[in-house]
Amino acid sequence: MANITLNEEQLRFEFNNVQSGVKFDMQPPTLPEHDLLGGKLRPVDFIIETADSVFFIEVKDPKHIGARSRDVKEFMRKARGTSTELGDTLISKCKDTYINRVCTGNQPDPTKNLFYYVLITGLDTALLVHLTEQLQSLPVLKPGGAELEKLHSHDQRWDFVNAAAAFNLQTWRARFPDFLVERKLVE
Amino acid sequence: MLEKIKLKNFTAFESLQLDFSPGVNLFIGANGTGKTHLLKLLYAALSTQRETRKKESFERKLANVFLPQGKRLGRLAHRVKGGATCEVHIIRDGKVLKFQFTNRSQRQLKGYQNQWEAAHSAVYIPVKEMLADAPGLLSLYNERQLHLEGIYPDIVQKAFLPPLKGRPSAQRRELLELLQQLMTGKVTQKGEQFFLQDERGELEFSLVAEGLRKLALLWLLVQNGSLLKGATLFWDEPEANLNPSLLKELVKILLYLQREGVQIFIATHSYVLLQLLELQGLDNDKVRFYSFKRDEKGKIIAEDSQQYQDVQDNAIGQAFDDIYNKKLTQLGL
Repeated sequence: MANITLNEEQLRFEFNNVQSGVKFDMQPPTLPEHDLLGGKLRPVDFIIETADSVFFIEVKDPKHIGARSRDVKEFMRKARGTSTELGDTLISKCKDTYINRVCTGNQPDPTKNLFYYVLITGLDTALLVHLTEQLQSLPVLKPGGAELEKLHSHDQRWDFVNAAAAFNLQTWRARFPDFLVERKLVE
Repeated sequence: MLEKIKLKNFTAFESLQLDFSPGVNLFIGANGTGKTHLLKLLYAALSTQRETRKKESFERKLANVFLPQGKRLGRLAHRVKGGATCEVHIIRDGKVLKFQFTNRSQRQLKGYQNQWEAAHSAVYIPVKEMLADAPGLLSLYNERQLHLEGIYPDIVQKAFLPPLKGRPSAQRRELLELLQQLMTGKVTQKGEQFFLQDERGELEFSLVAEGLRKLALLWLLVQNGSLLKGATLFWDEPEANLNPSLLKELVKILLYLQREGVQIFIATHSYVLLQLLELQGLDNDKVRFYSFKRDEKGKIIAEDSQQYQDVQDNAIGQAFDDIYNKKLTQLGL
């Protein structure tokens, strides 16, 4: 087990007691598997593995230091009630990452739980609820359901996500004391 | 333009100091955190300025708006053991209105000082729509000892004002047309009774949906010049009885009025209204959010921000926190 530090723009993450952790969304792509289908697949930012779970983690930081008010508003418009634009993008990233991992022979260990977590700074809990509900359109594993039957018969996890949810900095810190996040000082 | 208020021992407030936006000021907080009291105090201060700045006139207005028992202003003092002295300072256009009283005061204020110039129109729209109850209300209020908060006859009186002379400006016409579209008709008046007229005929206001009557009131206030540049609008829970689908249009109207130079004060419990005001606002719109809450000692405090996202620790946000936590628990997280 190790403690791994990863950065995403102004945010620094420290993942404690993990088996592995990589920054998966590298620009430009540094590994052949990142550039699958000529860059058409959109990856999540981090893939973290612990003894019993795999985490796909996507980070959005609209409230970064120096963010323009106009850009923050535009982001919130995408996140609010009538729009599914942000939710659709986040869902695609999770699916694309999973497809990428399967197609490159790096399929997540099927015996482990797979979670998809999205961290978005500045989002209030009303919008987090809205977004979390949208994320449920991912193929979420339902124990005992038809998806589980399919899993057993084909030995393949297309109903691959155990749970998916959205967080802001405050709720992330409250839920994940081992996955520390802090804003880096900006010069 | 109201700029600043400083209170000591006034009703629910032990002490409070706020700087106001010249545009839209949004008060949010749980019930009992003084939002409506603040609206009423500011309204009482402004609405006596038009005719007179006399102390007696203001004392009467304050008593009529708050309606304390026996119209004793001392009952508006913050309730503490041993009694309290209340002090109010309000700054408007750089000039002060101030007064004080104690919990033992009767109908008189002390230390009254008023440097304000005559004010433009001040409009207070209460939670309950009043146009349907307008016929006979003013004469009843003026002639009888009626136990009715002064904000109700005031808004009826404002609604009765005849239209301004001359052709409305293009902007005002646009606003009046938008309101008419939303109401799906025109407001007409016969004597003291209001009607909504559409292609099917005239419908008396008592039969019109309360949400539409609110829009009709706005139409009247814009038409008769009560909401022009320099006016101040106080609106308690504009979302009440209004379908959320109409809130988007209402926000458009509020932002429009603000751009025309109307200063607006709103007390609200509506997350949708707050979000829409933030999202529909342009960069140069002046919207400010004030979150009222009680600290660990029970004292009401307020924090303010130019963005709703920055006052997350508020009563509306906390309701969603509970839903969010239940959702995560449901997901096994």
